[in-house]
Amino acid sequence: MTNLNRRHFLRAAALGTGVLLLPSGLLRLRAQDDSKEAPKKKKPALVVVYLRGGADALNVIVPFADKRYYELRPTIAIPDKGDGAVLPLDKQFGLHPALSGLLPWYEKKRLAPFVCVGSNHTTRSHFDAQDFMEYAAPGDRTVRSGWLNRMLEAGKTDKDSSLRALAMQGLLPRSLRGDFPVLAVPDKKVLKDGELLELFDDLYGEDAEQMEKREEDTVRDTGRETVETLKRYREIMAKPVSGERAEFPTGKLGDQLKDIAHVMRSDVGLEVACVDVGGWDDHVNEGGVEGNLATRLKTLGDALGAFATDIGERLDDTLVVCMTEFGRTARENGNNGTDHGHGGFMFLLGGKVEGGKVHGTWNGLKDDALYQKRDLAVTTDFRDVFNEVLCSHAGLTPKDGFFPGYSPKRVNGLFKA
Amino acid sequence: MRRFIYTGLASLLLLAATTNGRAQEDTGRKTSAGQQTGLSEDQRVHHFLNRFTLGATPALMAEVKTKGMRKWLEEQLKGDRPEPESLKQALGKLSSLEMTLGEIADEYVLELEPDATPQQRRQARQLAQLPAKELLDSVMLRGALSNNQLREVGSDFFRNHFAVSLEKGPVELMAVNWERTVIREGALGNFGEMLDRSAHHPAMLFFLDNHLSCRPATEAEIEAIERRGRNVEKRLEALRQRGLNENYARELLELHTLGVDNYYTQDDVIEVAKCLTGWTITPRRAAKLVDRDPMSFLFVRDFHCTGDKTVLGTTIKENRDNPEAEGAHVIKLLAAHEGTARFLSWKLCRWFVNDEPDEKMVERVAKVFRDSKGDLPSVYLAIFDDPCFFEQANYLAKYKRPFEFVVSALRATGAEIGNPTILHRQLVEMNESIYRCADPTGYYDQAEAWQDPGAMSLRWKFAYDLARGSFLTVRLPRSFYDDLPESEPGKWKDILARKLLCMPLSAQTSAALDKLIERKQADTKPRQLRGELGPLLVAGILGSPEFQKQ
Repeated sequence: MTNLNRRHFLRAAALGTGVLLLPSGLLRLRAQDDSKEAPKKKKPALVVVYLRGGADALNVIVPFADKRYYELRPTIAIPDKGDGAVLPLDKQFGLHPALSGLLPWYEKKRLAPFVCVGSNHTTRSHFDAQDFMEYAAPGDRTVRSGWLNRMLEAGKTDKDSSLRALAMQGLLPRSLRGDFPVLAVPDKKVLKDGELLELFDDLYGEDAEQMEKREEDTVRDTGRETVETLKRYREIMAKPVSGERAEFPTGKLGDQLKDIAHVMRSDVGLEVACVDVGGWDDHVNEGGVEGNLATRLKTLGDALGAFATDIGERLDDTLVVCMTEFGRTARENGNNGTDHGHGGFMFLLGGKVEGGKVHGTWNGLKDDALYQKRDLAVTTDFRDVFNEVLCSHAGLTPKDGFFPGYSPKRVNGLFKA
Repeated sequence: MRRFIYTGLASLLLLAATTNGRAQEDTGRKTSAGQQTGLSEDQRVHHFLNRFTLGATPALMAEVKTKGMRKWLEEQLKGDRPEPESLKQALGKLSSLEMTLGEIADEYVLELEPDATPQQRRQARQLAQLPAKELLDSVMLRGALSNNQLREVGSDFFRNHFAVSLEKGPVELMAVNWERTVIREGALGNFGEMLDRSAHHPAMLFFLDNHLSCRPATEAEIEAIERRGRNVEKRLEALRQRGLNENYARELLELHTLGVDNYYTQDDVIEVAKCLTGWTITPRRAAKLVDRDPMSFLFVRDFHCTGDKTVLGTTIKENRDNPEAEGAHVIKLLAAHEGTARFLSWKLCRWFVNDEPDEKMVERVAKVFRDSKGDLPSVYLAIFDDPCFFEQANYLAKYKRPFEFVVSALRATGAEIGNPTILHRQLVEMNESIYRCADPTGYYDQAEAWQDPGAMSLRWKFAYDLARGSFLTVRLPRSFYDDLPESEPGKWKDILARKLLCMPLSAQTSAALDKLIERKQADTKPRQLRGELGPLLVAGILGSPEFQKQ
């Protein structure tokens, strides 16, 4: 974001709604106002869970009916029957057994697994692949705004909440970077210590008049923004949400999704939230039914399941998209793992999704069907799914050029008509 | 972000072409450094130290005032001031720092049998990670403690200019040698020589894939494989995958010398790549065979593209006696190029002076770059001598990167650094993990890249933890609070500001700290006040807007 933009935004926010710069007593009022004033037609919410490192598509959504799968993976394949068998989704695919937390949502037709989705760019570099995906512009290094930021920019109105988007980490993921100011949810450690926040509120807090009077100073702007975000977020988190909470798994992801659910249940107008989950680069000791991947999937499935339970009927206009930069080699390697591949997968979970069926085109695992005879092929461009999220979930009509150099194709049947 | 930077450069170059005529009329206003600016003497010294060290301290302020800025800088350009015992001792424990690449391969690489146990594999991993850990420790220790601060600032710049990442394969083993022989050696030397050393260093050759770059297979080779008839498909596939890799050649032009799309075309990229084919790395297993140190630079003649090449309009004649010299020729050509002088001068002015450096200043510095044939000490001196350097608008105009913030906080507090690893962990959270920038651009040094609210709160948390001793292995000296008069807490903030900022507090910060003092005095027993209020004041000052700037 240019400084001008940020300052402009802050100033508008400060002078227009007064929300950012009021002392905490008034902030509390404002927070309550938010719930009262919540627009009649609430904007739908999108939660993006990004699995960093290239999660192994073939052991997440397992093509158990394909004999070739078992030939390619003599030690890490998930069996089709017996102990630790796949959780069948249809006659062809099943979930890794560690994803039992997601199965009920599939059965309730809220979960749509998507196979062979990814980028047609040839890169097998994590960084390039993640960049390209988060900017939704494979191969184009001049694009420097994230697709979610462009989405927020496209969907902004005069009546927007001051907390349209948040990232559950200190620095924004690339998908949220860009011209639209997004507030990163700061370090929770900072929130825990009231003394620290008080000190920096003293140092950076200022009212509109003080701000008008002083010289332009982007450090002060950022500092005030930080204090106000922290306070705002703390306000929201300090107020218990009514009703039962679901049981989230212990650990970072569970905590983060629980906090996002809390914000959503507070009805403050949240539209986009992002969570990164690291560690999916399973070159070594990936394991099969049990092992490193299974452990991570267990947490992921349980956390997503708990999230869906926790937000209750809000799931009707919520969409969770779980994605990764690429899948991995179809063959296992010599280290009980897999190497960087090509085609990946997604999970879409929400009320408007056409759940209960596996989406995407599957061409099998024969050598000729594989990308460069080694990786799962890409049969759906990830931008087609992103486009579907924009159109069918967020109700936007992306302008030409939203996906630089690419005209997305509709993915029929992914969302309910 | 990259686009933003290069628009700046493009407009600068455009301007450079049109302003030569106008430069004349400005000479009337030209005076010796800073005489006509509004900075006070203290501010001038402060500004000078902000830019030519990784953090001012009261002791340095006094030293520079006595010696004079230029004289002090001239000493720094030599980079041979004796180092403090504490630094020498800490560095003495890091055994990989002085090793050659061959020694590192011998010491830190365990050959694993195919049936090695997971435990053996883990041990091998841990051993291989040691040189990188020692490298990072040394960077932090030297930044905080070295008496040769200009070398540290210059190294910081070139670490990002010639970025390599520990995340890519064996770079984690090579980087410690790269830092010593390319970065630190080069930072106070000649740019062309540093460019040449960087091009020969396996860390760079691997990071940007040049070690794979190879002439395409010939018809004869393909036929030979088919004739032999064993594993034909596999061999052909291997042969097909082999070929020219443009990655390094492109970044050599774009990032290391000329700037994006300046003076060169895609054809030049390919021709440069051809000249550099065969510049690769000695495989460990083949080291004895070729009689080279494992992991050291190796020229493989059979990889090299034959024929004449044309780079930037210059013909590089095929050199059959010594094909390796073709690459060296390209490096020389680039080092001496007008575009390199401009691009480097622009980047250095941006680093040392202002995110948007004055175009005429860049021109003047570029002239020195050219005239001195890339002698970096002359360039640093030219930046200091330039009439723009001390302009009011440049004072505190740079926002500290996380690395600069952390190191300057260590310097200001005189923190005792037991184990620097915890500091790097902080930098990981702040997204500036040293030697781990995935992008060959290196980390950005402009404010815009770092001013996220999330990141700001991490600075506060760092200041708070450092001041309160939460890091355990990195803490303030025991005596740090000794000069605070117990009976007059109202004076503490100014005493601490002099120590930490070398400057008075801004009115806003001062008022905020007064509020804090009042609050703490009301709810703390006098005996505990020093222990409670002292660290909070330090945290407040290190987290204040003024300490984020330099």
